Amino acid sequence: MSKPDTQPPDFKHDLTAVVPHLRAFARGLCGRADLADDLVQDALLRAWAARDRFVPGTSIRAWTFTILRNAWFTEMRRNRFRADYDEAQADRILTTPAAQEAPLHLADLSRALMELPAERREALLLVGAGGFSYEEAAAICGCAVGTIKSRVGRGRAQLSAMIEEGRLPTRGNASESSRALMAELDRITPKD
Amino acid sequence: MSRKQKPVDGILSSDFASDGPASNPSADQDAAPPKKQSEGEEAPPWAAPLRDLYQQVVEEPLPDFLSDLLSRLDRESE
Repeated sequence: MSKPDTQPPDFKHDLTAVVPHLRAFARGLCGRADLADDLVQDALLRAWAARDRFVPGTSIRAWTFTILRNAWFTEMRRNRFRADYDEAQADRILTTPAAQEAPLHLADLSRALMELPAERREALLLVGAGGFSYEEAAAICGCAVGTIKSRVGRGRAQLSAMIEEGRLPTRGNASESSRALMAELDRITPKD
Repeated sequence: MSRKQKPVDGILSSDFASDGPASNPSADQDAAPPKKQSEGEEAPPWAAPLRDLYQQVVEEPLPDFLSDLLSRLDRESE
């Protein structure tokens, strides 16, 4: 694959255009607005540094999402997110709905998402919220299309079961959600 | 800089909506796709809120530090 010597002016424009989507994906991944934006900042710096490797005409959104999710898992491995985890702050984020239409519903869903294993949450965010095809999501996650389909299906089933069985995390049991998040961080952080 | 982006197209495709739950929740690493359900299956009740959750963040103003970073990249590229 040939690499351009310089990026066209569109690169910066296109990179800027995907930032809101990167923020939305990052927010869904880590469940914290502050960490999500730190993650976006990292991803932007990495994308800018690697801009010569971007192939014009391909999806900059998929390219930057790949960078962001790789940055996320790298940070998880470095334990940075765990070290920065503030349970009280997380509780506020997990329990405070925005003053917008149907806030409780969205807040409930946000908490429920954090109950999912990271891989399923990531797959649902990419396909169900981000509008990526299974093929694109698989490329972003570096796995097979069938694996993404499996993760989406299982994440979907898990979320639906939580709703149907009335097991959605609520404000009252947000600390349980926080514990689930910490358990997840423990699970996906490799033991050194 | 425009702070609002176009909504994502095809956020919940019929393919996603028709993709049924898996029968083996412990085999996440398996590449086998979950069992398909009927074509006319309705989207789950959380599907639209999931899109809303995402879109809500997309439509938020960028925090200053990210706007500043983008500006710095601009200057660097000149």
